[in-house]
Amino acid sequence: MSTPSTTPASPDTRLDATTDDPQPPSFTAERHLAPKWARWGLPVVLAVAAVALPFVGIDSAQQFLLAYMAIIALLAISLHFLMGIAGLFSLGQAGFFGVGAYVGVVLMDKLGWDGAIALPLVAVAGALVGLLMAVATLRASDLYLALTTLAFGFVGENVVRNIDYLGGAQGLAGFDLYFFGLTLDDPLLIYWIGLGCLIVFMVMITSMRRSRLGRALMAGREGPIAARSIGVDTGRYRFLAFGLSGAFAAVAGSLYTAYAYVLDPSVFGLGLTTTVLTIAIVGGLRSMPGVLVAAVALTWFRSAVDGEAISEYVLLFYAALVVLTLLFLPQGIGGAMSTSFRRLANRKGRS
Amino acid sequence: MDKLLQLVVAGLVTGSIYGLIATGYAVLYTATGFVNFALGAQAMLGGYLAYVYFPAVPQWVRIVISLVVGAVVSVVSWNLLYKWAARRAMLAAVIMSFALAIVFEEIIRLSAGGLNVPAPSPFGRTVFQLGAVTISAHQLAVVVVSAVLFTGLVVMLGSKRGAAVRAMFADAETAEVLGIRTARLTTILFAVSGVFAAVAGILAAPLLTLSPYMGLNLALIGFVGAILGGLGRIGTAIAGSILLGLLEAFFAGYVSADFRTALVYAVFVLVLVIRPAGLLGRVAKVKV
Repeated sequence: MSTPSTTPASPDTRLDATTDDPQPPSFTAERHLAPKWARWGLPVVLAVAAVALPFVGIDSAQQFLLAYMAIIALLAISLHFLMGIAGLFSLGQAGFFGVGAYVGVVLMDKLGWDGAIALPLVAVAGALVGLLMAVATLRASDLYLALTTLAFGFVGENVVRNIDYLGGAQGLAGFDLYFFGLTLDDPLLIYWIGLGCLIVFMVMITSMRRSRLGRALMAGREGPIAARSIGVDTGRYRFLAFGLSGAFAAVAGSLYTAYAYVLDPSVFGLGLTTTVLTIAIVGGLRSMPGVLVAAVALTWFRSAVDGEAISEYVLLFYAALVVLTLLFLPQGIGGAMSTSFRRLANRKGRS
Repeated sequence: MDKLLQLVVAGLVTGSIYGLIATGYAVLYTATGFVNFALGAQAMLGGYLAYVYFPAVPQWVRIVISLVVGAVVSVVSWNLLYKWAARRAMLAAVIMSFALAIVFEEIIRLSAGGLNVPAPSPFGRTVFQLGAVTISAHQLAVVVVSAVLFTGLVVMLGSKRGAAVRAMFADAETAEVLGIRTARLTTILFAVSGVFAAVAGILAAPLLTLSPYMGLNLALIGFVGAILGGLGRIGTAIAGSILLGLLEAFFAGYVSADFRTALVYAVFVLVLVIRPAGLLGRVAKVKV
């Protein structure tokens, strides 16, 4: 063991490790319970339906809601990848998001570049921040991850608040953003770009899970020491996980500025971190469908109560939900569903 | 030279406050391996109880209430929430404490408003002039109170009864086998960390002005201080916090007051990269 640490013992830092869990670790338990057509057909049908959804004839408010859902879902999936697949606990998603938002505005509005060039650059910027975060957490105990990643958001906020070029504490408003020559103020365009990124990212994660790469990531999650002993360079995979997650989260942030039309230091704030954390924990960190369902449901809930008196309590509700979920449903909705589904399938198989 | 001395005073004062939070981290971490994110929010809660709520009650009563509530919140949240999550995975408990910090923050924001509240110091407005250095009664009180608490804790741990705690820090399982009631000790340590956090909140409020959002900031800075010195021992955590306070004061005084937050976290990242065990900490091998 070469990694120095202040940890007196080595506490179990895996978020959802269960001692009484009848399931073996999930990366060995990737058994197919559903028939092949359902495994491939269902996601494709859902993706096509999601792309075609705006043609059903919805009003402008619903178009904005869809765009917002796509942005939040992209951010939530980036957290799912980092926490659920690679097992790296992050409170730094708001840091990526904010960096993406500000880099996007500088490139697209201040410099007047087209989104087709700027968005990939935003992704690169997010990936660079992710790599920096990985460096900072490489030698530290996993328990420090939370505070280390959170610190990045605080630094980002502190820096942009004091730079006049970026609007300072007041922020910036009213942008002229373009994507392939089209004005990027149409919520549907934002929705489709967000959805496109989301689908690409989800396909990447799904195919990764079955590859050498994904197995290495998950081995690092299950037991970093065991993984290193069989030759998995966990540090290298940590760079990959943070970089990829940061890239997509930054793109989400950049789309958010196009959606919100204003940008101030609050994009680095705790409200966003809490929202995404709630989605990931409630949905079930390891379950992509669970995270998606939670992203759509909680975003819809938030927009439904917007303007009502209870909207003041949303953050309180979210935080309380995280506490209760961790206490009673540590694997989230997704985990609970798949456990009962497996149990059902097992019973059927036996009888 | 005068400016330097003045900055040393300012750094010592803020460093002592960070140290109170850092002590809480170190005590809990060495005893249970748990990093309690909610300590900053508990400090904020302590500040609000001492200065904002129940304005009719005399202040010393409110301060006592604040200390008692600090201990109770800490103990109850461990026994009711963190302990159960920690049995499954320590990281779940850490996330839980973060969420609980948000819960506290939101409760205070909804009941007392999200604006900054001025907090008059209970030690009055007297200002002492020591040569070229001015020090307010409150600043003096911060240093004295923290020094008393730190020494008290160190003396307690060094005493014969404190040996049980030290045994638990060294190896909780063996301590339990030897008949030390670790569960009860853990509860006591949580109470101590809660009281320290409440004291930090009460002392910090007149310097920083109260707001619901001061909690996580305090939690993070206290943690950076503890890491800077070394989280594994209480003495190093306190020393690291005071060092961080001094660094911050010098940076604010000589370089830029606006970017002090960025400096704090830059120090944090550097320490994690270069010397994760802390400047004063010993590098311990991870037990496999």
